[in-house]
Amino acid sequence: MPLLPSDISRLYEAHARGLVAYFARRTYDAEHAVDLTAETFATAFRQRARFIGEPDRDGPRWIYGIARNHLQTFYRDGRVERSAMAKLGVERRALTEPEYERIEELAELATVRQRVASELAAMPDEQARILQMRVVDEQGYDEIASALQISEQTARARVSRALRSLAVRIEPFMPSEEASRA
Amino acid sequence: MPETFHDLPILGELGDALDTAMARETEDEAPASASQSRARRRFPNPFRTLAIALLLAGLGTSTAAATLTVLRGSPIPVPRKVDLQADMTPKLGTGQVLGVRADQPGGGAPYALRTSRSETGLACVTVGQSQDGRFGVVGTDGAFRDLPAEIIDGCGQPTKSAPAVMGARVFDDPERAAVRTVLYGLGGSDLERASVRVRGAWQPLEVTDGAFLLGLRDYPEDSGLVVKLDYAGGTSSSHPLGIAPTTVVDPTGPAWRIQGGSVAGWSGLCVSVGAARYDERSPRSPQLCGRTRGPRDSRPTDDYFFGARTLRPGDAGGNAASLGRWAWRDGPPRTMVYGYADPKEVEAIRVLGGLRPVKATRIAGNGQFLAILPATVDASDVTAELTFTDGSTRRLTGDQNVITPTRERTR
Repeated sequence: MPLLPSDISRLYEAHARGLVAYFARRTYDAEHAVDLTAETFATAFRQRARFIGEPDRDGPRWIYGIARNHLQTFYRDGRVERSAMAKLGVERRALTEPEYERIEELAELATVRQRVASELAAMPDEQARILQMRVVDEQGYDEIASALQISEQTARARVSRALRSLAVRIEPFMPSEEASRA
Repeated sequence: MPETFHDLPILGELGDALDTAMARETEDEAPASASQSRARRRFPNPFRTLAIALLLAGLGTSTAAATLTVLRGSPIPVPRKVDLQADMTPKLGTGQVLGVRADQPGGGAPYALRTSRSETGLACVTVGQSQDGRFGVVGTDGAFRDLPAEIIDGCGQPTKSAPAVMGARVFDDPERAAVRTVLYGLGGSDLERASVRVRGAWQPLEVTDGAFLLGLRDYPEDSGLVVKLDYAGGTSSSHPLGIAPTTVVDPTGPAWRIQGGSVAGWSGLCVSVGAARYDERSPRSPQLCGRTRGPRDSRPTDDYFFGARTLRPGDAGGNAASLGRWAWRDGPPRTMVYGYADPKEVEAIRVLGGLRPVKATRIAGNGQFLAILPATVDASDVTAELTFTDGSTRRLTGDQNVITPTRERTR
């Protein structure tokens, strides 16, 4: 049975807050988290005819499936896709300071940041340095390659390996998708 | 949205914006294919096109606004000029009620057509009713009210050999049996003949001064309207109105829609049948699923899957674990034969078992199909005859390749 707009409203009410926290933990950015949440529900509305199942039972998993796809796109493109929101004509204002703080609180970002810093410090120097160059200093791969006297391709591979390593280290401390959904 | 986001007002505001947008979008979809046909088919390129939905304050895309107004017992208001584009604003003094009339099925004031010129020179049309020499509309309270000159249904570029304006206008009613559709058009001065297909049968349309008008029961999609226009010089054109690609016309009842979907993480397709005009109370058949995509695992896919189900009012049940429940609700008794056949492998499907063979309607391109039989034909007696693209045929009885999606592969 396709989802009805009333189902989507109900799912939004029940899961928007959890999704914001879910996205915030993974993007470390409250603005991105709110945009991704809105885009997830706008996409759910546009694709509601594809939904099969019971809204209350299967809806949350379906919503989080859409959320994962948007997160992957965000990781790939480095920006939030807003096409579904745009098609619906949905816009939003900027976040207020208390809203920033509340989202950080919900996502336990302070804890996550501490954990990242701690795990970063525990990583091998070579990996920590290349992550510092790429993620913190936002250097291009050509700059990293030049500084480390390696090829650009090797620089990309090393950054990728270091990110995977960091992800594996902090994953046990990240609230799961199930926890966000609950 | 309720006040559940007191600590994050941005989420409440976004929820409200989504609610508003969803309501707006579904309202646009509600008159379904009829309004689509207006917007897309009345004004074929290269002529100027105007979406009738822009008529916010008037009768607009359906009679809903007029019905509500009439029920309140107040006069039908004139739209504010600021809400109308010049293309949709009739020039005062140009209105003229044409001589063409159409009977209302079941009786009542006959339908009539008023034309006018927009401020930019387009030909505009308003569908209404004629009573005692006045042009207006009879509300659900039975009272006749004039339709102000400013209210129009649509405008288009006047031409000789193409329709300037054509559409299917719904006169809605809470009682489905009282719903009426008026087919109307300004076909152009060179229009010689017009005909319309209603539930599969062609009938001529009376053309007066290039205009035609026909009153029908039910919604446009129920009739599966196709208008054929023949012009002097031998050119002709066909115009489907109110038919979506997934719509299947029922021989006597409301139109149906074939709907396909997949289960997350599973390489298959599930097909069901529901009312073309869908809402929470409309009937929905059981899902039939088959292995058509993939392979996500080593098992081969099937070229077709389908089954027959006899469905009666009140029937309901559970689908496979991941697919929820279905309910036929107050749908008319039918034996539905539906499923999927790969268009590359299967050319045509006929269903045998009723008084005569029934050709299945297929959704162009995606292979999903539906054949409708009366419920007096038991599903177990139905045989489907498949004609394959290599010319061979096969007759099959009972469920074919219908499987239950397994949840172990879902995420």
